[in-house]
Amino acid sequence: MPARHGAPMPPRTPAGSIRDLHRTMALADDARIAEIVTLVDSLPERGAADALLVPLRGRLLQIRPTRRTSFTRLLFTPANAVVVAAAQWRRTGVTLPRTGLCCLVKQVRAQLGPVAAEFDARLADATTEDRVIILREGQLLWCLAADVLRSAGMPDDWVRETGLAAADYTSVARGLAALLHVASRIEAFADRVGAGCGVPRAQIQACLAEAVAWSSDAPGGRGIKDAPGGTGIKDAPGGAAAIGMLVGVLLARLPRPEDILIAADDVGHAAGDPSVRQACDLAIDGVLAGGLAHAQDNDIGAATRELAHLAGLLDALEKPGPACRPARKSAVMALRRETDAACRQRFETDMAHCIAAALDLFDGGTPGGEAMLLEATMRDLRKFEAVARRFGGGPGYDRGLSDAATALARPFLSAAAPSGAIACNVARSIEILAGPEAGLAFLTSQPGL
Amino acid sequence: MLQGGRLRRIPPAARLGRLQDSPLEAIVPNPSGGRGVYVLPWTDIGALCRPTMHDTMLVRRLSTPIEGIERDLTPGRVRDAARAIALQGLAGQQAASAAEASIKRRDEGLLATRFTLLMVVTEQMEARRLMEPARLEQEPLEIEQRGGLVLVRLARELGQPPQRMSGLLDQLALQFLDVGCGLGMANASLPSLVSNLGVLRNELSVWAQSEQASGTDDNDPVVRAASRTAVAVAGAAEITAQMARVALDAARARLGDMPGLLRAILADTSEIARCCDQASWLLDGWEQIWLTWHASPGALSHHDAVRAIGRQIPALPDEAEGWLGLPAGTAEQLFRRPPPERAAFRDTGSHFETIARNEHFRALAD
Repeated sequence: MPARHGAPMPPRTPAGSIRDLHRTMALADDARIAEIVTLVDSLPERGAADALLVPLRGRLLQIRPTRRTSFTRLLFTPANAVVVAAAQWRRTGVTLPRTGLCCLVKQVRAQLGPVAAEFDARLADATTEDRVIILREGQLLWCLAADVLRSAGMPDDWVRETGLAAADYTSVARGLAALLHVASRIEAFADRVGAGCGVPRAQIQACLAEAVAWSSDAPGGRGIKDAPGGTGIKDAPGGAAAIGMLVGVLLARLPRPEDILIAADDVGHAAGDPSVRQACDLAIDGVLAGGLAHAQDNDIGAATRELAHLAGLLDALEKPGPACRPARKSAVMALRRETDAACRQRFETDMAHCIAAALDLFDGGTPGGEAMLLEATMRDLRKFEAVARRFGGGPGYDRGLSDAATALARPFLSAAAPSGAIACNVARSIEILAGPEAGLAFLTSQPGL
Repeated sequence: MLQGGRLRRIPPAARLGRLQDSPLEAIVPNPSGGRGVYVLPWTDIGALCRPTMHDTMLVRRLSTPIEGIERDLTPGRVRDAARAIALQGLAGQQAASAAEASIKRRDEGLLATRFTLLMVVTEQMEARRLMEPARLEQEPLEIEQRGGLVLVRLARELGQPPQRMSGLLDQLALQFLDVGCGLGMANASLPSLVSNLGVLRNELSVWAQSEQASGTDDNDPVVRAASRTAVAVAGAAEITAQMARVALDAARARLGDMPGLLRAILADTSEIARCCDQASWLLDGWEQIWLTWHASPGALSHHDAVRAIGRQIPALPDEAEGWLGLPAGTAEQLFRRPPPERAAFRDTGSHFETIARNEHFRALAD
C-alpha cells in the first residue's frame, strides 16, 4: 500500500492471512509447534512474530517445549504463575499483565546497561531445561532487577506500549520488584516441592516478612495510591500492598495454601499492617477467579494437579483461620459447586470415550502396547476422580465407575469367552475402574482362569 | 501392597480347629516403627492393606500344593510364582514381556551353571586321580565328554545309576543359579543384588549428608526425617549385604568338595537347598528397595523414594541369627525401622501411582 505522504510503509499482513495462519497453527502437531516456538525465540527482535504465539499459549502450557532461556524469560521466570493476558488483568496488584512485560524488561535492560549484555552472553546456549544456569543467573538478575523496579519512574512509553494507565505502573513494578527480591527463595521452595518435600511455614513467613520489609524501605514505598476506578488497595502502605503478587505466586506454586495464609497473617500482625491481609485477600480472590478453568484443562494430569491445589485452597478458606471470611463463604461455595459440575461433566465425557476405546481395543484381539496406554488413561481418570470428589459428587462418581466397569465386562459375559490375554486385560481395566474385587470376580468368571 | 512383609505357610498345628480360607499368613514389620512384627492370616490382610487382583492371584497360586505336597515358601518359590502370574498379564503388559524374557534368561543361566558345576566336579575328580585338571579354556565338548566319564565313575563310587548323578547335577544347578559359581559368579542375581546394596548404601549416605548440608533450616523436620530414614536404610543395606556375602561364601564353599556334596545331597536332598536359600532369605525384599531408589530422581523424587523405602525395610528372618551365629535379638536391634513420616501432601490418587510403579518394578525385577 503506498504511503499517504510518499514514504514507503512497512508491509502489513492482512488480517485474513493472520487468521489463516492461526488456524493452521492450531491444527499443527506438537513437534511443529515446538519448531515454530524455536524459530520465534531465535529472532533477535520478536515484535509481530510474538503475536503468532498468542493462540498457542494454551498448547504451550501443555506440551512445555524446551525453549531458549533469554534475558526476558529468565527475568520473569519466578512470575510465570501470575502473568495473564491484558483482558484478564485486574487492578488487584496480584497479576502481571503480559502487555507490560516488554516495557518492564526494556526498563531493566536500560538501567543495567552493559551488565544486561553480559547476561545475554552467559545465557546464549541456555534452555529452560538448564535449571542450574537459571538459578545461578537468576539469583544475580532478580536482585538487580528488583532494585531497578523498586525505585524507577514510569517509562515514557508505558501507556502507549502497554495500553495500561499511568497509575498502573507503580503497582505493577513494585509488586514485581517485591517478588523478584525474594525470587531465589521461591525457586528454592519450588525445587523442594518438586523433590517431594514440603516447605516449612516458618520459611514462607520469613520470605514474606523479608519482602514486606524490603518494599517498605523503598523510596515512596508508603502511600501507593490505587489507580482511579481500581478495586485494589487504596492508600495502603507500599510494602504490604506490594506483596500481593508474591502471595499469588506462592499460592500457585506451593502445595499447602493454609500455611501461606497463616504465614501472611502472622507477617501482617508482626508488621502491624492490615494491608498485608488485604493483599492476601486479593491474591486469594485472583486464584479463585481462575479456579474453574482448571477442570477444563486439556491435559488431565495438569487438570488433576491444579484441581488438587484449588481444593486445598478452598478447604483452607472454609476452615476457621486467617483467611476465613463470611463475605467469601458464598463465593467459595459457588466455586465448589461450579467446579464440581465441571469435573463431573468432564469425567463422564472422558470416561465414555475411554470405555468406547477400550471395547474397540479388546474387540480387535490381542491389544499389546495399546493396553498399556489404555490403562494409563484409566489411571489418570481415577486420579482425576479422586481429586474431583473433594468438590463433591461422590455417589455420582461411584455410580459412573461401576457403570463403566459393567459396560466393559458385558460383551465378554454374554458372548464366547475371550482369550486368556484379553480376559486379563479386561479384568485389569475393571480393577482400575471398580477395584480389585470387581476385577477378580470377572477374572474368576472366565473359564480356564 | 505389603510393604516389607513376607508370606509363610501356617504351620499345620496352628491350623487345627481354625477355618482358614488360605493356608498362608503374612509377617509384617510393625507399621509404627516399633519393635516386633505383626503376624496375621492372609484372610485378615484387609485390616492392613487392600491387595490387588494380582496379589490375590499370586497368593492363590502359592497356596496351591505342588504335586500334592504343601511345600514351604521360599523367596525363590515366590519369585517363580510371581513370574508365572506376570506371564499371564496380571501385572501388566510390560511385566508379562519381562517375565517371558526372564524365564528365557534363567533357562540359559541354568545351562551355564550346570556346565560350570560339571567343570568343577570334573576338575576335582581328575585332580584326585592326579590327572591333568580340566581348564576353562578347554573346548566345551571335550569337558562334557570328560565330565560324563567323571559322573559315571562318581556314580559307581556312590552306588547310584549314572542318570541319577546327572539329575543331581541339574538339581544343584538350580540351587546355585542365583547364588552364582565359577567365572560368571558376580552376574548371578544374588551377588548382583549384594553389589547393588553397596551402591545403595553409598548413594543414600551421600544423599543424606548433602540434604543435611543443603537444608536452609537446620530444624527443618522434613529434611531431618528424610536424612534419618536414608541413614537407617543405608545401615540396614550394609548389614544385609555383609550377612548375604557370608551366606553366599558359605554356600559356595560347599562346592569345594563336589563329590562330598553330591553324597550329602543323596542323604538329604533339602540340606543344600536350605544352605543356598539363606542368602535369598536375607536379601528378600531388598530388590524392590534398590529398584525404588534407582528409579529416583525420575519416576519419583529422591525424597519420595526415601519415604517409600523407609517403609519397605524387610524384617530379618528369625533364623538368620542362627545361620550367622549372632546373639538373639540382634536382628531386631539392627533392623529397627524409622518411625513413619508425616503423610505426604500429594493426594492425587497416589494409590494408582504406587500400583503402576510396583508393576514397573515387577517388570525390572529378575
